[in-house]
Amino acid sequence: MKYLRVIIKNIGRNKRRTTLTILSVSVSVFLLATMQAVMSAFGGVSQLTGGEYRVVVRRNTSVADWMPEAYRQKIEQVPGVVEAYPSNWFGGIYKEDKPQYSFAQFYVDTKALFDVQFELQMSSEEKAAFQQERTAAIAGKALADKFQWKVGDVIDLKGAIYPVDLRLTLRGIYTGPQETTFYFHREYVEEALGRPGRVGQFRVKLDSPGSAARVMEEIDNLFKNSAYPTKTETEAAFAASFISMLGNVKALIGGIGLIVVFTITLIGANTMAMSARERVTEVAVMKALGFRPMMILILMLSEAVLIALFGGVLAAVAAKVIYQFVGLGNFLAIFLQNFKISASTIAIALGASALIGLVSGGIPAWNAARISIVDGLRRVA
Amino acid sequence: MAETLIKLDRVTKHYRRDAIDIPVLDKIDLEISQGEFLAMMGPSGSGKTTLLNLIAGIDKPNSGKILVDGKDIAQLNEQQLSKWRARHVGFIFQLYNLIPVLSAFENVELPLLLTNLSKKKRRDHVMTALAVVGLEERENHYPRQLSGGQEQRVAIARAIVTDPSLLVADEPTGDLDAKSAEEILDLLKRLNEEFHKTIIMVTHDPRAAAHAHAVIHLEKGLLSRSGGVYEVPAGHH
Repeated sequence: MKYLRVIIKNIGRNKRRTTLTILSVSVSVFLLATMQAVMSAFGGVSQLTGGEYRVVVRRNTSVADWMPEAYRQKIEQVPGVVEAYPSNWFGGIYKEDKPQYSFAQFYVDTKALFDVQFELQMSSEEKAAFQQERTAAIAGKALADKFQWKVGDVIDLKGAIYPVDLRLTLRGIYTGPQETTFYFHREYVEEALGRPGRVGQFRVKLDSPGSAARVMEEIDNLFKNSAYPTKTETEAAFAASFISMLGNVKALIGGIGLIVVFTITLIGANTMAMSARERVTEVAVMKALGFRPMMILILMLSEAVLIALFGGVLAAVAAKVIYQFVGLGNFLAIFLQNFKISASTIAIALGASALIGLVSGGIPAWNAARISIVDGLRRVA
Repeated sequence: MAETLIKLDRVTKHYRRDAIDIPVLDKIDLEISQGEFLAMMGPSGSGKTTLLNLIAGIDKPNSGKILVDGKDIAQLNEQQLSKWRARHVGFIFQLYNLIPVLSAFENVELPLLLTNLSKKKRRDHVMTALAVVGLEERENHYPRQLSGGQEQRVAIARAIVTDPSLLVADEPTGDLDAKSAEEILDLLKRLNEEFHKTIIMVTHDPRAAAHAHAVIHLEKGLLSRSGGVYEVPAGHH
């Protein structure tokens, strides 16, 4: 602790340079935190929602392509399958075609919904009201809170993908691990569209998580030689492929994040090298006073790590504020229902910051520790 | 007669630059008594600073012994030398070499951070050292807020704060005006007389050298001494 003042004062030596370095690190770590949160959201789907008991059947070409409704019966005959229900992305416009009004909308078989998505919690009265009324809909609590919906509200969705506008009545608000989805009756939309019988995905409930691999293979084998071959995958993998409709966002964010972090590490190393070069004489004086090379190394590395950690903290705070409090998180949550800046994401961001500091400060600190006192003092004389 | 604090026995030092061997010191023998104030003079490149660096333990000879208080510091490794310097040597440089981002107090405290002293004791030591150089009122001033003479006095406070037996000063007045230089030399003399510090001072200035008990001249790596063997003033031991 007695060295902390010396470290802090050295960090403040060139305020502009330190501030810019902190900002550079924070931008890169912010991207890294975003990437990490996206990764966690992909991986977290099955863990958080009981999704290990479910697989998703979709077309092997794209999640945007469709399958015949008749597949449901064949899927339900596969050993290990308890139940399956058809689900389609509606993608209607609520109020205005703006990101803040976007949310996940699925028209589904409302009878099977609660059996397969068993984690959705709602009162039996609300459940019954939803299932009995063709124009009824339910929303997750987070979604209802965002738009200040209450049971009985009428919600209009203008068709963007399908040529039909819907007027729906909110009959229930569910709670659960994913509270940002809006469900309504498949029957209502099918009728309005003239019963095309097309299904975007089948959500399949398994008898046990251990059956997943076999069931996925058997379902895909079942339709391999049909006009509409399928691709069956876990919920987590499905969420990832759904995201790929937007382009490979995961790879894009991940790639940019890693490149920026790498670049910032190099810039940080250059900054630390500049700082160390300016202080050759001071380091020589400190060594003459009795500071050992290891102590010099520790002091200079501490500076680099502390600067990077300041950047990391700034990034974590920014990510928390931007994604959760400002509301951008809700927009992302349409596609990544478990997207959040969690404690583990913050820990990873801070760890990455510390690593940036260690790597960028390592060589300059090592060189400073090895400065010859005589050579260092001669630079002045 | 005073005890010998420093004894150099056939000390040789040469540097290699681009495969060329440059001799600096050639089989130097020298004895410096405890409590002596010694000036080292000589033309540029004569090896004054090299000799000072060897005695202070920041450089190593190619051959020979450097006995300080009976210990051959030429045989110590880097770690041992760091520890030895922290305990026994105070450094005073021509350009003061204070850390610009630290206040006068913090600069003087720097060597004490290597000790196990409590914060309060460190403060007591620092304030005592600053009082000796007459700058206790300037503890919160940064080097840029001080004059050259004041900066050098802070540097002297830093050199004495650990109460070392030996002070090495490389051109301590070389960057000062005449008045400030005289103040610094008076201060060094006081440290020698009142606090019994052994002082070795490299200087080009004969007026500065006149403050010392003896002067050694270095030329072409060889040494000659003028001034008698140092006698300990009454009451020093």
